[in-house]
Amino acid sequence: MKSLIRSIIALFLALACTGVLVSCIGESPWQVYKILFTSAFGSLSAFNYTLYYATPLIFTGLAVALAFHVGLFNIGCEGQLYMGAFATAVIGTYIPAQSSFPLLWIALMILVAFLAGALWGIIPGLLKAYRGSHEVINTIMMNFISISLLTYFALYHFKDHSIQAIATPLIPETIRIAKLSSWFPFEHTSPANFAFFIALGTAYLLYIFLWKTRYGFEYRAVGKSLQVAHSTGINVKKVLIFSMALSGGLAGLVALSEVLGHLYRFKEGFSHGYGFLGIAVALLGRNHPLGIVLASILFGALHNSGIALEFDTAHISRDLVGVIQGLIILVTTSDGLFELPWMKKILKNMKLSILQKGKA
Amino acid sequence: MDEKNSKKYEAFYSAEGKGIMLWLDLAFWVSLLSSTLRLSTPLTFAALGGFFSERSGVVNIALEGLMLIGAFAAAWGNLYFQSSVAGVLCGILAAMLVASLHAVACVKFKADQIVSGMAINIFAFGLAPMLSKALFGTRGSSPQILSEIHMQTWNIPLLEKIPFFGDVLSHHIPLVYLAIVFVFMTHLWSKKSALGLHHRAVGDHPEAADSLGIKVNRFRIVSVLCSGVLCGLAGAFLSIGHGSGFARNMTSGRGYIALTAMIFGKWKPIPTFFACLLFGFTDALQIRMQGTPLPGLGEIPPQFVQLLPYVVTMVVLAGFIGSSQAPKALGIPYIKE
Repeated sequence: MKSLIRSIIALFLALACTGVLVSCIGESPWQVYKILFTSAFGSLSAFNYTLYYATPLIFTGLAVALAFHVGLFNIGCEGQLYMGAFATAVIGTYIPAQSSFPLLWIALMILVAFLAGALWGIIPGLLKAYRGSHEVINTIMMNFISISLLTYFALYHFKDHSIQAIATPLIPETIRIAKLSSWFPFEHTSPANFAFFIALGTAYLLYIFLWKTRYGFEYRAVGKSLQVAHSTGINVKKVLIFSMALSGGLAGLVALSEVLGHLYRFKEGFSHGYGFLGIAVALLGRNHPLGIVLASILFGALHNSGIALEFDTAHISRDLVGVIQGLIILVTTSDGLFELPWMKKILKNMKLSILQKGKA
Repeated sequence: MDEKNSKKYEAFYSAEGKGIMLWLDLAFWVSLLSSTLRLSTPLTFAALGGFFSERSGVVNIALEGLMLIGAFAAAWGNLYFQSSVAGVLCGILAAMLVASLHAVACVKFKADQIVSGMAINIFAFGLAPMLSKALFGTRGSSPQILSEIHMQTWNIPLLEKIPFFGDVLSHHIPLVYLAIVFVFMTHLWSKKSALGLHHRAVGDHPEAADSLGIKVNRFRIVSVLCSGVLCGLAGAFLSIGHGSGFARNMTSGRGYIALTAMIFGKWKPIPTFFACLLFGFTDALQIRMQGTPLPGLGEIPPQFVQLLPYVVTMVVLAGFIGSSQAPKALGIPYIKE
């Protein structure tokens, strides 16, 4: 409850700061807030796009959160999701176009996406466990390596020459994940797909894993204190290595919504910084799967409304969204801010009013 | 030209021949080394910025974002005031302002320093193009800075007369020299002055520093602001020194490279400078290797050469540099008892 209130306060503070910035540029903040809201939730198709942008963020948010619980910082989601996407797109082209068991093939592709991401995640894990080198620098380096390397392969070895962009050929119908519009009353062209529900399922599985299994207990114990975990007989090295692999694998699953669900191919620059936003999402969701899902929808909504912002105002570009996101993260992580006297007062009043409502 | 000669001529300029000849050419080395010096300049500034912040105990992965803001503000200042000096000052001021957010969040509000750094990066990568749209009309780039108001190159008297070295070391814009001067000044300051000693004490043993009467948190805030100033210089170099205008994403990962150069240099100014030169060299090499084959190896795709600094960093981190090299209180907020 307390963390929820804090996240909400962070959101409002960030929006207030943005309002000041917007009025400095000479636009009306209220107009901007209105556009932000209506273009994210105002219509069915707007909501569909919000879900579409939220899906990869759920995966990367979960990936970052898992590593967080072990006390590790996975900034490498961007590289890991590139690996997952590339592996599924390339291996996907070899899948037969006609098959009577499409679900089996899709399950295989999910495994491929997971393993490719895990491969990229396990390397910093190994380096951390055996060489003690800091995972933050290593994962940042591995982002650059993976993006550069995959651009090379996509350009010179797997390029689809029928289009101009650096992209691999289309994957067959067999392994494409259905659009939400086939079940729900969305427009036919809208991009959100069933990977969203897979993401929700993954969030639930991660919750079970972290809080209801022995392994999850070990992982969180390592996150609390390496020394204590070690002296209670937990194999710390194993936990460090496998948690990074799992985290990378979760990031790799972004391929489901992007490659299998919408683009049907690997395309250079397909990720709109999902890996980095995953950190924000995990933080805002306080590393809890449910919080991450909610935070992902919020960030997906923000991302979605950026484009509308550019069309509907004269001087503001979609980059305003980045400003809001950055401010939200900054405020959320500033623990001391919530211990200032005036902030404590607000927190107390909010809690009281919520309690009173609960009683009434 | 008879047939024999023309064949020789063809062989000389065939792909392989050209590749070999290039490596024996003195002019090629002059241009390679002088561009190494230029390309390592923004890295040097930003890495020194990282040095100031991290030696005082505040992790700073926001170098990238601070550089971008510096680059934008410098371009704006240069265009608005029609003077490159004003541009540089604007870049410094803007980067310092954004750095103050990081400083306040990390030092005053005990934020997680890595998260705060990421937040600053996301913030800056939104803010710079947003302001570009508001002030210049496009989110992509600023108008070009014409040569009349562009920063001019300086020649160093005497030095420019020396063959080869003169050509490599002279004819640069003042910021290149300033970076080198800063490296040595920082080294002396850190090693020889009382303030420099305090700076290191704050990062290694904040409790001890506090008991000596050093204001730990104030020292850290000023250190982070210093890193903002240096990142502003780095950004200004990119947009109005080396380039002629601001472009979206023009830092392209240099902030992170600078950070690793600093770690590579074990949090010390002079080794950091050499790491920056190394990364600058691979960058300069990569530009020249596009389309020119290496003798014996054939043509190496530019993407692979681009990877070199990253791979080298990882190998070095895994092989040689333990965590003992880092400032001891790095990343830990100081709470006075």
